[in-house]
Amino acid sequence: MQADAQLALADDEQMAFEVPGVLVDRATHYCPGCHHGIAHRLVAEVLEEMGVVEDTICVASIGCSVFIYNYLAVDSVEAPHGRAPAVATGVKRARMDKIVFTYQGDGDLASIGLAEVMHAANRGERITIVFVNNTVYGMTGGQMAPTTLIGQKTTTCPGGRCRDREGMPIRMAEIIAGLGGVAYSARASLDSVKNIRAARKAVRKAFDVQQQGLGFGFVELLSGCPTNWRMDAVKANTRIREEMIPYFPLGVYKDVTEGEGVC
Amino acid sequence: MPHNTPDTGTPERIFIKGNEAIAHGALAAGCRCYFGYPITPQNDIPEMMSFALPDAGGEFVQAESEVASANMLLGAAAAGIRALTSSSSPGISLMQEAISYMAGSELPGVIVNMNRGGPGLGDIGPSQGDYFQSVKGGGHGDYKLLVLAPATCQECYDMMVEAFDLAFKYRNPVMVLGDAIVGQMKEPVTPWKPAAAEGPGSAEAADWRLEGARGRKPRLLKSLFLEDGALAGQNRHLQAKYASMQAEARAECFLTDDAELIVVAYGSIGRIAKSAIRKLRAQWRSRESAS
Ligand SMILES: Cc1ncc(C[n+]2csc(CCOP(=O)(O)OP(=O)(O)O)c2C)c(N)n1
Ligand code: SF4
Ligand SMILES: [Mg+2]
Repeated sequence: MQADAQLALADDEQMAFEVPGVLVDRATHYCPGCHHGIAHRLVAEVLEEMGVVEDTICVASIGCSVFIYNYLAVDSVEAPHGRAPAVATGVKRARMDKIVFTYQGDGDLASIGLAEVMHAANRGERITIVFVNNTVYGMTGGQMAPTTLIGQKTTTCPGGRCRDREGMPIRMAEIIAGLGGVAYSARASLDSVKNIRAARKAVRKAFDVQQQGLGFGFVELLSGCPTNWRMDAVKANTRIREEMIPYFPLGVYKDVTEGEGVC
Repeated sequence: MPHNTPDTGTPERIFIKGNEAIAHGALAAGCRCYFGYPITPQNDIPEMMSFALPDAGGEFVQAESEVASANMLLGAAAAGIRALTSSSSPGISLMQEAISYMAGSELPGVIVNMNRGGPGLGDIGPSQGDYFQSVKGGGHGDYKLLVLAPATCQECYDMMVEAFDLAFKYRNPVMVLGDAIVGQMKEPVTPWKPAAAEGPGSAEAADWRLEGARGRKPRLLKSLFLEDGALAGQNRHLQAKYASMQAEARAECFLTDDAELIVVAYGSIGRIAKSAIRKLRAQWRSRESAS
Protein backbone atom coordinates (compact mmCIF):
# COMPACT_ATOMS: atom_id res chain seq x y z
CA MET A 1 0.00 0.00 0.00
CA GLN A 2 2.68 2.37 1.14
CA ALA A 3 4.85 1.46 -1.84
CA ASP A 4 1.90 2.08 -4.18
CA ALA A 5 1.38 5.50 -2.66
CA GLN A 6 5.06 6.26 -3.11
CA LEU A 7 4.91 5.12 -6.75
CA ALA A 8 1.84 7.22 -7.57
CA LEU A 9 2.55 10.38 -9.53
CA ALA A 10 2.73 13.61 -7.57
CA ASP A 11 0.62 16.53 -8.78
CA ASP A 12 3.53 18.18 -10.52
CA GLU A 13 4.74 14.95 -12.17
CA GLN A 14 3.83 13.56 -15.58
CA MET A 15 4.19 10.02 -16.95
CA ALA A 16 6.68 10.35 -19.81
CA PHE A 17 5.97 6.94 -21.33
CA GLU A 18 4.35 3.64 -20.44
CA VAL A 19 6.64 0.65 -20.05
CA PRO A 20 5.80 -1.85 -22.80
CA GLY A 21 4.13 -5.01 -21.45
CA VAL A 22 6.52 -7.23 -23.42
CA LEU A 23 9.43 -5.84 -21.36
CA VAL A 24 9.89 -8.08 -18.33
CA ASP A 25 9.85 -6.20 -15.01
CA ARG A 26 13.03 -7.43 -13.36
CA ALA A 27 16.40 -6.23 -12.10
CA THR A 28 18.81 -5.50 -14.96
CA HIS A 29 22.26 -7.04 -15.29
CA TYR A 30 23.41 -4.16 -17.50
CA CYS A 31 25.80 -1.59 -15.98
CA PRO A 32 24.54 1.83 -14.96
CA GLY A 33 24.38 4.06 -18.04
CA CYS A 34 24.50 1.14 -20.49
CA HIS A 35 22.34 1.71 -23.56
CA HIS A 36 21.35 -1.93 -24.14
CA GLY A 37 18.34 -1.32 -21.88
CA ILE A 38 17.15 1.58 -24.04
CA ALA A 39 17.66 -0.45 -27.21
CA HIS A 40 15.59 -3.29 -25.68
CA ARG A 41 12.81 -0.85 -24.83
CA LEU A 42 12.71 0.54 -28.36
CA VAL A 43 12.39 -2.97 -29.79
CA ALA A 44 9.67 -3.76 -27.22
CA GLU A 45 7.73 -0.59 -28.05
CA VAL A 46 7.91 -1.23 -31.78
CA LEU A 47 6.79 -4.87 -31.50
CA GLU A 48 3.83 -3.81 -29.38
CA GLU A 49 2.93 -0.93 -31.63
CA MET A 50 2.94 -3.26 -34.64
CA GLY A 51 0.89 -5.85 -32.74
CA VAL A 52 3.36 -8.65 -33.57
CA VAL A 53 4.63 -9.63 -30.11
CA GLU A 54 2.99 -13.07 -30.32
CA ASP A 55 4.34 -13.71 -33.80
CA THR A 56 7.92 -12.73 -33.13
CA ILE A 57 11.02 -14.87 -32.77
CA CYS A 58 14.16 -13.27 -31.36
CA VAL A 59 17.62 -14.57 -32.23
CA ALA A 60 19.97 -13.63 -29.38
CA SER A 61 23.68 -13.17 -30.06
CA ILE A 62 26.81 -13.42 -27.91
CA GLY A 63 27.79 -10.29 -26.03
CA CYS A 64 26.40 -8.40 -23.04
CA SER A 65 22.96 -8.73 -24.66
CA VAL A 66 23.03 -12.55 -24.71
CA PHE A 67 20.42 -12.29 -21.93
CA ILE A 68 17.98 -10.27 -24.05
CA TYR A 69 15.52 -13.14 -23.54
CA ASN A 70 15.42 -12.29 -19.84
CA TYR A 71 13.98 -8.88 -20.72
CA LEU A 72 11.87 -9.43 -23.83
CA ALA A 73 8.97 -11.84 -23.39
CA VAL A 74 9.08 -13.35 -26.90
CA ASP A 75 10.09 -16.79 -28.22
CA SER A 76 13.90 -16.80 -28.45
CA VAL A 77 16.81 -18.89 -29.65
CA GLU A 78 20.47 -18.34 -28.87
CA ALA A 79 22.93 -18.22 -31.78
CA PRO A 80 26.68 -18.88 -31.64
CA HIS A 81 28.93 -15.78 -31.71
CA GLY A 82 28.34 -13.88 -34.95
CA ARG A 83 25.97 -16.44 -36.47
CA ALA A 84 22.65 -14.84 -35.58
CA PRO A 85 21.87 -13.77 -39.19
CA ALA A 86 22.35 -17.39 -40.37
CA VAL A 87 20.21 -18.72 -37.52
CA ALA A 88 17.57 -16.10 -38.31
CA THR A 89 17.70 -17.16 -41.98
CA GLY A 90 16.92 -20.73 -40.87
CA VAL A 91 14.05 -19.64 -38.61
CA LYS A 92 12.55 -17.37 -41.26
CA ARG A 93 12.85 -19.90 -44.09
CA ALA A 94 11.08 -22.40 -41.85
CA ARG A 95 8.38 -19.90 -40.85
CA MET A 96 7.99 -17.18 -43.46
CA ASP A 97 4.84 -16.03 -41.65
CA LYS A 98 6.72 -14.92 -38.50
CA ILE A 99 8.63 -11.76 -37.57
CA VAL A 100 12.26 -12.72 -36.98
CA PHE A 101 14.96 -10.40 -35.66
CA THR A 102 18.52 -10.57 -34.38
CA TYR A 103 20.05 -8.27 -31.79
CA GLN A 104 23.84 -8.08 -32.12
CA GLY A 105 26.83 -6.17 -30.80
CA ASP A 106 29.67 -4.76 -32.89
CA GLY A 107 32.13 -7.56 -32.11
CA ASP A 108 29.47 -10.13 -32.90
CA LEU A 109 28.20 -8.55 -36.12
CA ALA A 110 31.10 -6.58 -37.57
CA SER A 111 33.96 -8.94 -36.75
CA ILE A 112 33.30 -12.66 -36.34
CA GLY A 113 29.88 -12.47 -38.00
CA LEU A 114 30.68 -10.23 -40.95
CA ALA A 115 30.14 -12.94 -43.57
CA GLU A 116 26.80 -14.00 -42.13
CA VAL A 117 25.33 -10.50 -41.90
CA MET A 118 26.52 -9.45 -45.34
CA HIS A 119 25.16 -12.54 -47.07
CA ALA A 120 21.85 -12.48 -45.20
CA ALA A 121 21.54 -8.82 -46.26
CA ASN A 122 22.54 -9.55 -49.83
CA ARG A 123 20.05 -12.42 -50.11
CA GLY A 124 17.40 -10.02 -48.87
CA GLU A 125 16.34 -12.29 -46.03
CA ARG A 126 13.09 -10.99 -44.62
CA ILE A 127 14.59 -10.38 -41.20
CA THR A 128 15.43 -7.36 -39.06
CA ILE A 129 18.80 -6.73 -37.44
CA VAL A 130 19.23 -4.43 -34.47
CA PHE A 131 22.95 -3.64 -34.30
CA VAL A 132 24.31 -2.10 -31.11
CA ASN A 133 27.61 -0.35 -31.82
CA ASN A 134 29.44 0.59 -28.61
CA THR A 135 32.98 0.50 -30.11
CA VAL A 136 34.17 -2.25 -27.76
CA TYR A 137 33.77 -5.90 -26.85
CA GLY A 138 31.69 -5.16 -23.78
CA MET A 139 31.12 -8.62 -22.39
CA THR A 140 34.71 -9.84 -22.51
CA GLY A 141 36.07 -6.74 -20.80
CA GLY A 142 36.53 -3.94 -23.31
CA GLN A 143 38.86 -5.27 -26.00
CA MET A 144 39.22 -3.58 -29.38
CA ALA A 145 36.25 -4.01 -31.71
CA PRO A 146 36.14 -3.48 -35.49
CA THR A 147 34.30 -0.23 -34.68
CA THR A 148 36.83 1.09 -32.13
CA LEU A 149 37.71 4.66 -33.10
CA ILE A 150 41.22 5.75 -34.12
CA GLY A 151 43.09 6.71 -30.98
CA GLN A 152 40.57 5.00 -28.67
CA LYS A 153 42.30 3.04 -25.91
CA THR A 154 41.07 -0.47 -25.17
CA THR A 155 42.57 -3.39 -23.26
CA THR A 156 44.03 -4.82 -26.50
CA CYS A 157 45.09 -1.51 -28.04
CA PRO A 158 46.31 0.16 -24.87
CA GLY A 159 48.15 2.85 -26.83
CA GLY A 160 45.02 3.68 -28.80
CA ARG A 161 43.81 2.20 -32.09
CA CYS A 162 46.23 2.98 -34.87
CA ARG A 163 45.14 2.98 -38.51
CA ASP A 164 48.35 1.46 -39.83
CA ARG A 165 48.30 -1.37 -37.32
CA GLU A 166 44.62 -2.13 -36.73
CA GLY A 167 42.87 -0.58 -39.71
CA MET A 168 39.94 1.80 -39.75
CA PRO A 169 36.70 1.47 -37.79
CA ILE A 170 34.08 -0.25 -39.95
CA ARG A 171 30.94 1.67 -40.89
CA MET A 172 28.30 -1.04 -41.07
CA ALA A 173 25.13 0.90 -41.92
CA GLU A 174 26.83 2.19 -45.09
CA ILE A 175 28.22 -1.23 -46.05
CA ILE A 176 24.87 -2.95 -45.54
CA ALA A 177 23.10 -0.25 -47.57
CA GLY A 178 25.26 -1.19 -50.55
CA LEU A 179 24.10 -4.82 -50.64
CA GLY A 180 21.50 -6.35 -52.90
CA GLY A 181 18.53 -7.39 -50.83
CA VAL A 182 18.48 -4.53 -48.34
CA ALA A 183 15.21 -2.63 -47.96
CA TYR A 184 16.29 -0.35 -45.14
CA SER A 185 19.59 0.56 -43.50
CA ALA A 186 20.00 3.42 -41.06
CA ARG A 187 22.16 4.63 -38.21
CA ALA A 188 20.73 6.29 -35.11
CA SER A 189 22.07 7.11 -31.66
CA LEU A 190 20.92 6.54 -28.10
CA ASP A 191 22.78 9.46 -26.49
CA SER A 192 19.90 11.91 -26.09
CA VAL A 193 16.12 12.05 -25.94
CA LYS A 194 15.96 13.61 -29.38
CA ASN A 195 18.16 10.95 -30.91
CA ILE A 196 16.35 8.14 -29.08
CA ARG A 197 13.09 9.34 -30.63
CA ALA A 198 14.68 9.20 -34.07
CA ALA A 199 16.14 5.78 -33.24
CA ARG A 200 12.68 4.48 -32.41
CA LYS A 201 11.46 5.52 -35.86
CA ALA A 202 14.41 3.77 -37.47
CA VAL A 203 13.78 0.57 -35.48
CA ARG A 204 10.14 0.68 -36.53
CA LYS A 205 11.08 1.09 -40.18
CA ALA A 206 13.55 -1.81 -39.98
CA PHE A 207 10.68 -4.04 -38.79
CA ASP A 208 8.13 -2.56 -41.20
CA VAL A 209 10.12 -3.53 -44.29
CA GLN A 210 10.26 -7.11 -43.01
CA GLN A 211 6.55 -7.23 -42.35
CA GLN A 212 5.83 -5.82 -45.80
CA GLY A 213 8.10 -8.43 -47.37
CA LEU A 214 10.29 -5.75 -48.94
CA GLY A 215 13.63 -7.16 -47.83
CA PHE A 216 16.30 -6.97 -45.17
CA GLY A 217 15.92 -4.34 -42.41
CA PHE A 218 19.01 -3.02 -40.59
CA VAL A 219 19.36 -0.41 -37.87
CA GLU A 220 22.64 0.53 -36.22
CA LEU A 221 22.37 2.16 -32.78
CA LEU A 222 25.36 4.13 -31.46
CA SER A 223 25.49 3.15 -27.80
CA GLY A 224 27.46 3.81 -24.66
CA CYS A 225 29.52 1.35 -22.67
CA PRO A 226 30.50 3.53 -19.68
CA THR A 227 32.15 0.60 -17.92
CA ASN A 228 34.67 -0.20 -20.63
CA TRP A 229 35.05 3.41 -21.73
CA ARG A 230 36.01 4.12 -18.09
CA MET A 231 33.58 7.06 -17.94
CA ASP A 232 30.40 7.96 -16.16
CA ALA A 233 27.13 7.79 -18.07
CA VAL A 234 26.96 11.53 -18.79
CA LYS A 235 30.51 11.61 -20.19
CA ALA A 236 29.68 8.54 -22.27
CA ASN A 237 26.76 10.37 -23.85
CA THR A 238 29.03 13.32 -24.58
CA ARG A 239 31.57 10.98 -26.17
CA ILE A 240 28.91 9.58 -28.50
CA ARG A 241 28.06 13.11 -29.62
CA GLU A 242 31.58 14.46 -29.91
CA GLU A 243 33.56 11.45 -31.11
CA MET A 244 31.28 8.73 -32.46
CA ILE A 245 28.69 10.67 -34.46
CA PRO A 246 31.31 12.62 -36.46
CA TYR A 247 32.83 9.31 -37.66
CA PHE A 248 29.56 7.35 -37.76
CA PRO A 249 27.11 9.89 -39.28
CA LEU A 250 23.47 9.41 -38.37
CA GLY A 251 21.00 8.94 -41.18
CA VAL A 252 19.13 6.66 -43.51
CA TYR A 253 21.48 5.00 -45.97
CA LYS A 254 18.89 3.00 -47.83
CA ASP A 255 15.12 3.01 -47.80
CA VAL A 256 13.35 1.31 -50.68
CA THR A 257 10.07 2.87 -49.60
CA GLU A 258 11.61 6.27 -50.41
CA GLY A 259 13.42 5.44 -53.64
CA GLU A 260 17.02 4.51 -53.04
CA GLY A 261 17.33 6.67 -49.93
CA VAL A 262 19.61 9.51 -48.93
CA CYS A 263 23.25 9.40 -48.08
CA MET B 1 10.13 -40.08 -65.58
CA PRO B 2 13.80 -39.00 -65.66
CA HIS B 3 15.73 -40.99 -63.10
CA ASN B 4 16.78 -37.95 -61.10
CA THR B 5 13.33 -36.52 -60.55
CA PRO B 6 12.33 -37.42 -57.03
CA ASP B 7 8.92 -39.04 -56.89
CA THR B 8 8.78 -40.58 -53.52
CA GLY B 9 5.38 -42.12 -54.18
CA THR B 10 6.48 -44.64 -56.83
CA PRO B 11 7.08 -48.20 -55.74
CA GLU B 12 9.19 -48.82 -58.85
CA ARG B 13 12.89 -49.24 -58.58
CA ILE B 14 15.05 -46.33 -59.72
CA PHE B 15 18.73 -46.45 -60.61
CA ILE B 16 20.42 -43.60 -58.75
CA LYS B 17 23.58 -42.49 -56.94
CA GLY B 18 23.88 -42.70 -53.16
CA ASN B 19 23.85 -38.92 -53.00
CA GLU B 20 20.61 -38.84 -54.97
CA ALA B 21 19.14 -41.51 -52.71
CA ILE B 22 19.99 -39.25 -49.75
CA ALA B 23 17.98 -36.43 -51.34
CA HIS B 24 15.08 -38.74 -52.27
CA GLY B 25 15.02 -40.16 -48.74
CA ALA B 26 15.09 -36.69 -47.16
CA LEU B 27 12.15 -35.56 -49.30
CA ALA B 28 10.20 -38.69 -48.45
CA ALA B 29 10.89 -38.05 -44.77
CA GLY B 30 9.27 -34.60 -45.00
CA CYS B 31 12.44 -32.47 -45.10
CA ARG B 32 11.31 -28.86 -45.63
CA CYS B 33 14.57 -26.89 -45.62
CA TYR B 34 18.00 -27.61 -47.06
CA PHE B 35 21.08 -25.46 -46.41
CA GLY B 36 24.48 -26.24 -47.92
CA TYR B 37 27.71 -25.16 -49.54
CA PRO B 38 29.31 -26.93 -52.52
CA ILE B 39 31.98 -29.57 -51.86
CA THR B 40 32.96 -32.79 -53.63
CA PRO B 41 31.88 -35.64 -53.36
CA GLN B 42 28.34 -34.72 -52.32
CA ASN B 43 27.27 -32.00 -54.76
CA ASP B 44 24.43 -34.12 -56.18
CA ILE B 45 22.60 -33.58 -52.88
CA PRO B 46 22.35 -29.75 -53.00
CA GLU B 47 21.90 -29.86 -56.77
CA MET B 48 18.87 -32.13 -56.47
CA MET B 49 17.48 -30.29 -53.46
CA SER B 50 17.75 -26.94 -55.29
CA PHE B 51 14.98 -27.93 -57.67
CA ALA B 52 13.13 -30.66 -55.81
CA LEU B 53 12.64 -28.88 -52.48
CA PRO B 54 10.92 -25.73 -53.82
CA ASP B 55 8.67 -28.06 -55.85
CA ALA B 56 7.78 -29.80 -52.60
CA GLY B 57 6.92 -26.48 -50.93
CA GLY B 58 10.21 -26.17 -49.06
CA GLU B 59 13.17 -23.80 -49.01
CA PHE B 60 16.64 -24.30 -50.47
CA VAL B 61 19.47 -21.93 -49.52
CA GLN B 62 23.00 -22.09 -50.88
CA ALA B 63 24.76 -20.70 -47.83
CA GLU B 64 27.88 -18.53 -47.83
CA SER B 65 29.82 -21.23 -45.94
CA GLU B 66 29.35 -24.43 -43.98
CA VAL B 67 29.53 -22.29 -40.84
CA ALA B 68 26.39 -20.54 -42.06
CA SER B 69 24.63 -23.66 -43.36
CA ALA B 70 24.91 -25.41 -40.00
CA ASN B 71 23.61 -22.32 -38.23
CA MET B 72 20.71 -22.08 -40.67
CA LEU B 73 19.99 -25.70 -39.79
CA LEU B 74 19.99 -24.67 -36.12
CA GLY B 75 17.48 -21.89 -36.86
CA ALA B 76 15.14 -24.10 -38.87
CA ALA B 77 15.36 -26.74 -36.14
CA ALA B 78 14.38 -24.12 -33.55
CA ALA B 79 11.22 -23.56 -35.60
CA GLY B 80 10.55 -27.29 -35.25
CA ILE B 81 10.72 -28.31 -38.89
CA ARG B 82 12.64 -31.12 -40.56
CA ALA B 83 15.79 -29.62 -42.06
CA LEU B 84 18.97 -30.94 -43.62
CA THR B 85 22.51 -29.94 -44.42
CA SER B 86 25.14 -32.00 -46.19
CA SER B 87 28.84 -31.64 -46.79
CA SER B 88 32.10 -33.50 -46.81
CA SER B 89 34.93 -33.56 -44.29
CA PRO B 90 36.46 -30.03 -44.48
CA GLY B 91 32.97 -28.54 -44.45
CA ILE B 92 31.91 -30.75 -41.55
CA SER B 93 34.82 -29.34 -39.53
CA LEU B 94 33.37 -25.86 -40.03
CA MET B 95 29.96 -27.02 -38.79
CA GLN B 96 31.15 -28.32 -35.44
CA GLU B 97 30.41 -25.14 -33.47
CA ALA B 98 26.77 -25.08 -34.56
CA ILE B 99 26.39 -28.83 -34.05
CA SER B 100 27.66 -28.40 -30.48
CA TYR B 101 25.13 -25.59 -29.91
CA MET B 102 22.37 -27.79 -31.36
CA ALA B 103 23.30 -30.64 -29.03
CA GLY B 104 23.45 -28.25 -26.06
CA SER B 105 20.12 -26.63 -26.98
CA GLU B 106 18.57 -30.05 -27.83
CA LEU B 107 17.66 -29.20 -31.40
CA PRO B 108 16.97 -31.91 -33.99
CA GLY B 109 18.50 -31.79 -37.45
CA VAL B 110 20.20 -34.07 -39.96
CA ILE B 111 23.76 -33.61 -41.17
CA VAL B 112 25.12 -35.76 -44.01
CA ASN B 113 28.89 -36.24 -44.23
CA MET B 114 30.18 -37.88 -47.41
CA ASN B 115 33.58 -38.48 -45.85
CA ARG B 116 36.63 -37.70 -48.02
CA GLY B 117 40.33 -38.07 -47.29
CA GLY B 118 42.12 -35.82 -44.82
CA PRO B 119 43.66 -34.23 -42.83
CA GLY B 120 43.58 -30.78 -44.33
CA LEU B 121 42.35 -30.58 -47.89
CA GLY B 122 43.26 -34.27 -48.25
CA ASP B 123 41.74 -35.69 -51.40
CA ILE B 124 38.26 -36.30 -52.77
CA GLY B 125 38.39 -40.07 -52.48
CA PRO B 126 36.55 -42.23 -49.95
CA SER B 127 37.79 -42.24 -46.38
CA GLN B 128 36.57 -43.15 -42.93
CA GLY B 129 38.91 -40.68 -41.25
CA ASP B 130 36.05 -38.73 -39.67
CA TYR B 131 34.83 -41.72 -37.67
CA PHE B 132 35.93 -40.46 -34.27
CA GLN B 133 34.82 -36.89 -34.99
CA SER B 134 31.38 -38.29 -35.87
CA VAL B 135 30.77 -40.72 -33.04
CA LYS B 136 32.55 -38.98 -30.15
CA GLY B 137 30.96 -35.56 -30.56
CA GLY B 138 33.19 -33.55 -32.87
CA GLY B 139 32.87 -30.04 -31.48
CA HIS B 140 33.48 -28.59 -28.03
CA GLY B 141 31.80 -29.93 -24.91
CA ASP B 142 30.63 -33.33 -23.88
CA TYR B 143 27.94 -34.38 -26.34
CA LYS B 144 27.02 -37.16 -28.73
CA LEU B 145 25.28 -37.49 -32.06
CA LEU B 146 23.34 -40.44 -33.36
CA VAL B 147 25.31 -41.63 -36.39
CA LEU B 148 23.89 -43.83 -39.15
CA ALA B 149 26.22 -45.29 -41.76
CA PRO B 150 24.67 -46.48 -45.03
CA ALA B 151 26.50 -49.08 -47.11
CA THR B 152 24.11 -49.21 -50.09
CA CYS B 153 22.07 -46.70 -52.04
CA GLN B 154 18.89 -48.23 -50.63
CA GLU B 155 20.28 -47.68 -47.12
CA CYS B 156 21.02 -44.06 -48.05
CA TYR B 157 17.30 -43.65 -48.71
CA ASP B 158 16.07 -45.67 -45.75
CA MET B 159 18.47 -44.14 -43.25
CA MET B 160 17.46 -40.60 -44.15
CA VAL B 161 13.91 -41.42 -43.10
CA GLU B 162 15.21 -42.99 -39.93
CA ALA B 163 17.59 -40.08 -39.28
CA PHE B 164 14.75 -37.55 -39.18
CA ASP B 165 12.64 -39.78 -36.94
CA LEU B 166 15.53 -40.27 -34.50
CA ALA B 167 16.46 -36.57 -34.51
CA PHE B 168 12.96 -35.61 -33.38
CA LYS B 169 12.54 -38.60 -31.06
CA TYR B 170 15.65 -37.58 -29.09
CA ARG B 171 15.75 -33.84 -29.96
CA ASN B 172 19.33 -34.31 -31.04
CA PRO B 173 21.37 -33.78 -34.20
CA VAL B 174 21.78 -36.96 -36.26
CA MET B 175 24.62 -37.59 -38.68
CA VAL B 176 24.41 -39.79 -41.75
CA LEU B 177 27.99 -40.83 -42.42
CA GLY B 178 28.81 -42.04 -45.91
CA ASP B 179 31.90 -41.66 -48.01
CA ALA B 180 32.93 -40.89 -51.58
CA ILE B 181 32.07 -44.48 -52.64
CA VAL B 182 28.63 -44.54 -51.02
CA GLY B 183 27.77 -41.10 -52.41
CA GLN B 184 28.97 -41.68 -55.98
CA MET B 185 28.05 -45.31 -56.73
CA LYS B 186 24.80 -46.11 -58.54
CA GLU B 187 22.43 -48.86 -57.47
CA PRO B 188 18.75 -49.67 -57.80
CA VAL B 189 16.67 -48.10 -55.03
CA THR B 190 13.03 -48.75 -54.19
CA PRO B 191 11.52 -45.51 -52.91
CA TRP B 192 8.84 -45.76 -50.26
CA LYS B 193 6.71 -43.22 -48.49
CA PRO B 194 6.97 -43.26 -44.70
CA ALA B 195 3.67 -43.22 -42.85
CA ALA B 196 4.27 -40.06 -40.86
CA ALA B 197 6.16 -37.61 -43.06
CA GLU B 198 5.87 -34.54 -40.88
CA GLY B 199 5.90 -30.91 -41.98
CA PRO B 200 5.70 -27.51 -40.32
CA GLY B 201 2.84 -27.33 -37.88
CA SER B 202 3.14 -31.04 -37.22
CA ALA B 203 2.76 -32.53 -33.78
CA GLU B 204 6.29 -33.79 -33.29
CA ALA B 205 7.69 -30.42 -32.15
CA ALA B 206 4.48 -28.84 -30.88
CA ASP B 207 5.57 -28.57 -27.26
CA TRP B 208 8.93 -26.87 -27.80
CA ARG B 209 9.23 -25.24 -31.23
CA LEU B 210 9.41 -21.46 -31.61
CA GLU B 211 6.48 -19.88 -33.46
CA GLY B 212 5.69 -16.77 -31.43
CA ALA B 213 4.31 -16.90 -27.89
CA ARG B 214 0.60 -16.82 -28.73
CA GLY B 215 -1.51 -17.53 -25.66
CA ARG B 216 1.37 -19.14 -23.83
CA LYS B 217 4.62 -18.24 -22.06
CA PRO B 218 7.62 -17.43 -24.27
CA ARG B 219 9.92 -20.33 -25.08
CA LEU B 220 13.68 -20.21 -24.99
CA LEU B 221 16.11 -22.52 -26.78
CA LYS B 222 19.66 -22.04 -25.52
CA SER B 223 22.82 -23.77 -24.42
CA LEU B 224 24.00 -21.13 -21.91
CA PHE B 225 23.50 -22.23 -18.30
CA LEU B 226 25.25 -19.80 -15.97
CA GLU B 227 23.29 -20.17 -12.76
CA ASP B 228 24.90 -22.15 -9.97
CA GLY B 229 24.66 -25.86 -10.76
CA ALA B 230 22.52 -25.34 -13.86
CA LEU B 231 25.07 -26.57 -16.40
CA ALA B 232 25.89 -29.64 -14.31
CA GLY B 233 22.17 -30.43 -14.25
CA GLN B 234 21.84 -29.95 -18.00
CA ASN B 235 24.87 -32.16 -18.64
CA ARG B 236 23.48 -34.90 -16.41
CA HIS B 237 20.23 -34.70 -18.34
CA LEU B 238 22.11 -34.90 -21.66
CA GLN B 239 24.24 -37.83 -20.51
CA ALA B 240 21.11 -39.74 -19.46
CA LYS B 241 19.67 -39.05 -22.91
CA TYR B 242 22.84 -40.27 -24.62
CA ALA B 243 22.69 -43.45 -22.52
CA SER B 244 19.09 -44.03 -23.62
CA MET B 245 20.11 -43.47 -27.28
CA GLN B 246 22.29 -46.55 -26.89
CA ALA B 247 19.09 -48.58 -27.43
CA GLU B 248 19.26 -47.55 -31.10
CA ALA B 249 22.67 -49.17 -31.68
CA ARG B 250 22.41 -51.85 -34.33
CA ALA B 251 24.67 -53.91 -36.53
CA GLU B 252 24.26 -56.45 -39.29
CA CYS B 253 25.85 -59.78 -38.34
CA PHE B 254 27.30 -61.72 -41.24
CA LEU B 255 28.50 -65.32 -40.66
CA THR B 256 29.39 -64.53 -37.05
CA ASP B 257 27.86 -67.63 -35.39
CA ASP B 258 30.86 -69.93 -35.85
CA ALA B 259 33.44 -67.20 -36.34
CA GLU B 260 36.83 -67.27 -34.62
CA LEU B 261 37.70 -63.87 -35.95
CA ILE B 262 35.14 -61.08 -36.39
CA VAL B 263 35.80 -58.11 -38.66
CA VAL B 264 33.97 -54.96 -37.56
CA ALA B 265 33.40 -52.36 -40.27
CA TYR B 266 30.80 -49.89 -41.48
CA GLY B 267 29.64 -48.35 -44.73
CA SER B 268 31.46 -49.12 -47.96
CA ILE B 269 34.26 -50.84 -46.05
CA GLY B 270 31.65 -53.11 -44.45
CA ARG B 271 30.69 -54.32 -47.93
CA ILE B 272 34.32 -54.88 -48.85
CA ALA B 273 34.82 -56.77 -45.57
CA LYS B 274 31.86 -59.02 -46.43
CA SER B 275 33.37 -59.90 -49.80
CA ALA B 276 36.72 -60.57 -48.17
CA ILE B 277 35.10 -62.87 -45.59
CA ARG B 278 33.23 -64.74 -48.30
CA LYS B 279 36.45 -65.27 -50.23
CA LEU B 280 38.44 -66.31 -47.16
CA ARG B 281 35.75 -68.77 -46.08
CA ALA B 282 35.80 -70.31 -49.58
CA GLN B 283 39.62 -70.57 -49.49
CA TRP B 284 39.55 -72.21 -46.05
CA ARG B 285 36.87 -74.65 -47.15
CA SER B 286 38.85 -75.69 -50.20
CA ARG B 287 42.02 -76.03 -48.11
CA GLU B 288 40.19 -78.19 -45.51
CA SER B 289 38.75 -80.50 -48.19
CA ALA B 290 42.22 -80.81 -49.78
CA SER B 291 43.93 -81.81 -46.53
C1 LIG C 1 33.51 -18.31 -30.90
C2 LIG C 1 33.58 -17.35 -29.77
N1 LIG C 1 34.65 -16.52 -29.66
C3 LIG C 1 34.73 -15.66 -28.64
C4 LIG C 1 33.74 -15.59 -27.70
C5 LIG C 1 33.88 -14.65 -26.54
N2 LIG C 1 33.02 -13.47 -26.62
C6 LIG C 1 31.88 -13.38 -25.91
S1 LIG C 1 31.10 -11.94 -26.12
C7 LIG C 1 32.30 -11.36 -27.14
C8 LIG C 1 32.31 -9.97 -27.69
C9 LIG C 1 31.04 -9.25 -27.57
O1 LIG C 1 31.20 -7.97 -28.02
P1 LIG C 1 30.03 -7.22 -28.79
O2 LIG C 1 29.49 -8.09 -29.85
O3 LIG C 1 30.55 -5.91 -29.22
O4 LIG C 1 28.88 -7.08 -27.68
P2 LIG C 1 28.82 -6.13 -26.39
O5 LIG C 1 29.14 -7.01 -25.24
O6 LIG C 1 29.79 -5.02 -26.59
O7 LIG C 1 27.41 -5.65 -26.37
C10 LIG C 1 33.30 -12.31 -27.30
C11 LIG C 1 34.50 -12.11 -28.13
C12 LIG C 1 32.64 -16.47 -27.84
N3 LIG C 1 31.62 -16.49 -26.97
N4 LIG C 1 32.59 -17.33 -28.87
S1 SF4 D 1 30.01 -3.81 -20.17
FE1 SF4 D 1 29.30 -2.12 -21.44
S2 SF4 D 1 27.86 -3.02 -22.91
FE2 SF4 D 1 28.16 -4.49 -21.24
S3 SF4 D 1 26.50 -4.07 -19.78
FE3 SF4 D 1 28.28 -2.88 -19.11
S4 SF4 D 1 28.04 -0.89 -20.08
FE4 SF4 D 1 26.67 -2.31 -21.15
MG1 LIG E 1 30.23 -4.03 -28.44
